[in-house]
Amino acid sequence: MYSIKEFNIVIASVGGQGGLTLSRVIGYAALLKGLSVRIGETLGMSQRGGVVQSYVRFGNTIKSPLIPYGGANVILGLEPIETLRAARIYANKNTLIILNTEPIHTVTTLVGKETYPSINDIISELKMYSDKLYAFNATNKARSKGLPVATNIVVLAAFATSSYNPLDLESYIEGIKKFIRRRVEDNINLFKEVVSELKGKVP
Amino acid sequence: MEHERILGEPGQRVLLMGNEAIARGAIESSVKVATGYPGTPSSEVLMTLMPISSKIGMYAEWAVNEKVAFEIGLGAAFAGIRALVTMKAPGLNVASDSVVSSAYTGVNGGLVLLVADDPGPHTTQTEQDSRWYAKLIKIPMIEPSSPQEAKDYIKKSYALSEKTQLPVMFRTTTRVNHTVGDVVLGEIEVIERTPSFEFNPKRYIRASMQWNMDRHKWLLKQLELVKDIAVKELGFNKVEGDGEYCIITSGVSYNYVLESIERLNVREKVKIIKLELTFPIPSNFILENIRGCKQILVVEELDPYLEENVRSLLQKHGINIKVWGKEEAGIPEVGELNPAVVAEALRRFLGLSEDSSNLMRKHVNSKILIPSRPPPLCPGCPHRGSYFSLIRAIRRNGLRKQDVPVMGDIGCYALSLEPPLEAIWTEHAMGASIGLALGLKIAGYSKPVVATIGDSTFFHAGLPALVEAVNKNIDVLVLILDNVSVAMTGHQSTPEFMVTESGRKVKPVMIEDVVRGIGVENVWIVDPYDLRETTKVLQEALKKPGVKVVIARRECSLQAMRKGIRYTPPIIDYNKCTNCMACIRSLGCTALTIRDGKVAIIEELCNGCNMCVQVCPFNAIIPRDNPLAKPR
Repeated sequence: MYSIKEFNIVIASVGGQGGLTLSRVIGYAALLKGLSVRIGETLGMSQRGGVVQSYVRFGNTIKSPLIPYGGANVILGLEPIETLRAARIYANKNTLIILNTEPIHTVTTLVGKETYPSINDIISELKMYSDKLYAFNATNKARSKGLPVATNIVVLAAFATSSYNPLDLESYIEGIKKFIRRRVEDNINLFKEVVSELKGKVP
Repeated sequence: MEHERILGEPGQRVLLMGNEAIARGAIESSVKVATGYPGTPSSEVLMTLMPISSKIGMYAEWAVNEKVAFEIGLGAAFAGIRALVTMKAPGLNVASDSVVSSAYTGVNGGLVLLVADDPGPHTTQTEQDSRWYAKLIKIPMIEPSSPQEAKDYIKKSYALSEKTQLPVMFRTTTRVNHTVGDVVLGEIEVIERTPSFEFNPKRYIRASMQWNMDRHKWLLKQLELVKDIAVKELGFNKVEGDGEYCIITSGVSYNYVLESIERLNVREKVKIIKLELTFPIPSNFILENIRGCKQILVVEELDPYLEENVRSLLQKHGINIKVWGKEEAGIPEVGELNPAVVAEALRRFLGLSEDSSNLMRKHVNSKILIPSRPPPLCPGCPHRGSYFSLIRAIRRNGLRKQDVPVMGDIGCYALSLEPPLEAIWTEHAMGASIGLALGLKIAGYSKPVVATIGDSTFFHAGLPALVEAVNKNIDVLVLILDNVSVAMTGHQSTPEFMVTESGRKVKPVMIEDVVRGIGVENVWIVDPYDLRETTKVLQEALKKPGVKVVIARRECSLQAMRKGIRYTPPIIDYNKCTNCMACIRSLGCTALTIRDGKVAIIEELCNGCNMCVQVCPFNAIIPRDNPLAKPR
């Protein structure tokens, strides 16, 4: 039986990127290890394109669906400014931040009311919170494997190779089987491929 | 949905969302009738039950609104059958007329009314604290704090309802409904009852002063019974620890209290009194457990409901213990609570120094202003075409946008408030767009007024206002945005469906038939993807006197895509594209983006609606296989 007191993951995403699905996949993996699980989320009114934050917590003592400020062990950032938005609240100096560098414009940046910050500036600020940062274009990787909507699985794979990851690969694969609805085998293969590609690269 | 989770064996440990756990609780309680109206954060309960309902011999269907839903549940409970009715907080406002009377009639079969409040409010028009309703209506109220309790307490609520003959209000908040957690499944009870109904006017007719007072007396007697049964027989409410600093809490706040105590390392100092029956207030339970308390802290979201009850209880019994409430502990009435806010309140209550909490975030001086991400209409959303055409029609008729009020209503189309459309002027309550428009015209507003309302919202509460408009012959344009689903809450069925999510074949009630049936003479049906035709029709409708109804019908793009209906995305001809951004600036579609300084289409998001094709001034966006929407 696993024993983990408390492990907190924040998933920062935009509606439609599969952030919620990812939270279920990880939560299920933790459930298989006999851990107590809580998954919470903060999302707005839109079905697509709004800010989505998911909180996955597992361990022996956790109760609340929300993570304390500065309490994230890991931030899985599916979108750059959403990662920054989440990091400002939940990062601490030991937080592992995985950043997908592919930006998704907001309506306000598209119509010119606001400006999308540069990726380099975003990375610099993230490094002020924690130097445990791994930034890469996960969306391009997913596209190159023919699964453009599987950014979430690519980011999960990056996390799975990290020394921060407390669960095993098989449990995540079980989670993918349980909660990914379409092209399950392709997603599993993508997960395995990215895991072997990134081995040793993520802090 | 993997049904095996919901229908799993007793003892199995599964991952369930609070609402799924409530659904499982209903299955374990042998509920035979489940109904409600979609509303975040309550919708997943019925969405979970519907696909499996025929398999388990349950009626599970959406009703046209919450009042009808409650009456269906109550009727079933009159007949001795267990029923569940689900709604979000504003739904209780709609249903309340029937709910108030139900306390006087009581029930025979168990009846649980799920009311989901939304502190935050994430997806609700107000931060209504529905706990006051239980006190107003005088029915027992149960509050769970986790998915496991949500399931277990539903089961106990049916026992409570049948033992006391009262409907039970099961009050949750977003962080209970939408939290996913590990849940151990329980036994599925099998209750077979034959529906029956006694003729008993004194109980069921609310038209006699004497009978009503008799039933009121009966109700008060039942409520005394509730306290005994809920606390002693069913074991609601908990006490943990035996410190001198007492914390009274309930619902999701209990979790924040527990974790804050761990973080502040003050377990031996405190005693937690967790209330689960929160109406009627379990006075004896509280009085017994505050013995030995030096001070009391009340931790609750939204209004000082428990706080006022506790203060009045202490006053009544002449007990002089200091109570820390909202004001003393700095617990806000606005917004939801979180671990940091509760830890801070505890720190004050216990007189701890500031650094011992260590829960505040690190501050970094940042040069980045993170752009806001207002929730947009989805790519290919038909509402985009409707509002774009409406604004264009207003302008083409020689009016200014700011002269023609466009009343909004509750649904996805409220997102048209964001740039670039900035279309709606109001969003008030279900169906209110039409009534508010009538009010403006009756008051003498001289320019045209438009009410925009979704298909399901129209059936829910828009219809009576349209009857009023026809009857009083008011000049109003009603644009009914029919995307063939209750899209915002997760694509539930509307009365226009032929088959519901349970697989039940139903008779479709079409909006155009209803509208013509109540006497609207000017009725048009348009495809909002066809911007030219939609604009033309709206221009004509804006000019006509009397009541006009335009039905903009096109299935929600997400729902259509799930069924495999999508067109090939158009392509941009960069020889013609001048990068004028007219497509982005007029539509704000999130499948359009800027890549390397140029307009681009994100293929995986685009459903090929071709609205951008129609607004490009240079015919630079080339359609592929969508025959409905051609370039201008």
